[in-house]
Amino acid sequence: MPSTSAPSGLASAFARELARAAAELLAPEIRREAERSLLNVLGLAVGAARHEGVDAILAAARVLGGTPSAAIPGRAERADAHFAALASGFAAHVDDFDDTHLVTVIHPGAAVLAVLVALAPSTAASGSRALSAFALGCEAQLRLGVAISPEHYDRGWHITGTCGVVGAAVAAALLLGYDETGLAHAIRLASTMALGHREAFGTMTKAFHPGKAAANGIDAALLARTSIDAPSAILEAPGGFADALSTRADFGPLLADIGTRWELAANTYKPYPCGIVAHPSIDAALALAPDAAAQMIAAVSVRVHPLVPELMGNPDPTDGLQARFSAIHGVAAALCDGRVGLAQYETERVRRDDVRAVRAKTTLLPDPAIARDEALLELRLADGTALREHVVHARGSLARPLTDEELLDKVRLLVEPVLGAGAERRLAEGVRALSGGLPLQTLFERTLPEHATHA
Amino acid sequence: MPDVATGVSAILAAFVVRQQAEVPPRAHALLAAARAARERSAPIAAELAEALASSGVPLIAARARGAAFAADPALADVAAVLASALVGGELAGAAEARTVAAIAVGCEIGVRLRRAVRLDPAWDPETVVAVFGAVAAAAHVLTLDEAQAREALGVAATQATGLRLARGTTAGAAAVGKAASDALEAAVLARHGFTGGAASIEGRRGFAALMASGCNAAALLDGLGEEWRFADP
Repeated sequence: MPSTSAPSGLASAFARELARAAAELLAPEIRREAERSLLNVLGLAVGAARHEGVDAILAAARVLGGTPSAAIPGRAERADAHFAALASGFAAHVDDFDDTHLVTVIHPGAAVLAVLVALAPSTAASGSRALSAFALGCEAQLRLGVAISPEHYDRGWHITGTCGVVGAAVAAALLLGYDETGLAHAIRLASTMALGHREAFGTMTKAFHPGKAAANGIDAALLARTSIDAPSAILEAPGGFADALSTRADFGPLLADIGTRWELAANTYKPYPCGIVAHPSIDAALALAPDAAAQMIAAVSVRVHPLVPELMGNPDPTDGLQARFSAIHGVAAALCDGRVGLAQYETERVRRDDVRAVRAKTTLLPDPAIARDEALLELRLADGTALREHVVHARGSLARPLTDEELLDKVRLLVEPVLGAGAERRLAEGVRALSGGLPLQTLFERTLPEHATHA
Repeated sequence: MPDVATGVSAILAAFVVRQQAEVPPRAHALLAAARAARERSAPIAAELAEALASSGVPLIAARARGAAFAADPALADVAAVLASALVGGELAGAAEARTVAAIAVGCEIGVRLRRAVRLDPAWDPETVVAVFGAVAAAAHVLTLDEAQAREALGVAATQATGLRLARGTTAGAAAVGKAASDALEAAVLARHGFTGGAASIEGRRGFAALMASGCNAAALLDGLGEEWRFADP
């Protein structure tokens, strides 16, 4: 119970409900979704560990950082908590392949994973506490995001950064074992540390947002041990978080049924590293790829939701970044390679003649009768054979979530090049073992390249 | 939409890097005052340093000094600039003249932005502009090139904050120290190849569009590099 001197205000009420939920065991279906979110985002952090932006962050750590303590997934180097958070949150988001909560377009996993990575050595948290902190850190930012959506994102804020700070603070405070008073204090301080302009999209700073959200959340939790504090109504009052960041806020659903109703349950995982509206078309192309040798293809037409050409209409991308906004490239790469992973979005692959030829033969037909997660692909071969594939719900959509096997296969493609064959199973087993007591630090040690254990 | 001219971020970055002109006496006076203030103890600085002890020395120093200067009425409006210039200067082993010039460009960017931008009422203008002045000072003292300075400005701009409700609270003072530390980090990241965008101030989803109802480009740019506005408050 709060002491009589505890300040009132939304942050305190939010903390009270979150602390109540943290004291209970996660329901099995939520535990499973938290595990899926964690495995997915951990795979991404490993997969992008060698990105030049991670190199820059670790170079900055050598100039500005403290004693290296935290293991960074996929890297041989360690870093202090601050820079480990920056590096792992960045890596988890940089390929735009991480989890997405469709209503808010928050990618909740990256910032919260980064908190776990950064605080694993100093908190020595048990696996079950860590999994609960992960779930509630995601849940807190998603609920806050719902309260200010869609106005907040529409104005130009990167909601993954802004709300991510508060979610990260919740995760950090729970890992540190705070009660509701400390949790409320951390939430108040985190509310003063929001970051993230969408102007940064297309630069490394986009993925810096969840990394810095994690670092700021840790900061807020550590400063909650001092007398430094913000007013009790900092979330909801004029001149506070919601007032500054959105033209509208509805805090009605923020507190309701925390611990029983979960926004985290609606988290989704992308099967392909490109804009989500292209996914049903890629599903259809992958289904036909075994029957259609690329060199035999005469013409491809795809009936799609009108948003597809609007958002991803580039017919002939010339580099990997452009290709991520080309539905036609996704279809052509699926037909040429029989798979669509990060390799299909490398600039060298995007420019090769075989995939360029198939792109040139592919047309998008916008059709208002087609749903957003639907596509109808018709393909004609040189010998006149006609093939047809109708995808009603894309893989990874809410109506057809990625299966555990599909998720494991996605993670395999991400981690194998960094950690070697079989690594995805070690990570998946590690994530599942958290609730049985596997220490968090042991899980992260499994994400290090072989030579790192001897460094 | 704010009436921000295109290319503003690039012009500011060029000014930050190229600044050669004689700096006004106030920059020297501020450096002396900041050094004197360091000798006095500020409780918030000690609290920050203790709570964040696992961080690196430069970031802790920027946080603690920025927050301490923010609590000093004589230095409050340029607290983040001074912290970033001092710590950056120590890090780089910069000559005193360069540190003074870094203070001058940081103060100049801060005062011009402060006068040019009509921030939304939920924001505290002094805290919000702190990170811009501080990153200008850091970019100058760490001798970034123009392209790096522009990227550093982008990494800093996306972190601009300062809730009006926190003004005058301990969290408000801590936010100024954090702006100094964030700015130093942004400059070091940009120096190592990190990117932050070409139009972070004037872009369609950038600082002015998200946090202000307008920006007077003339107030921001007229006479930049020729006359110092911060010298005559």
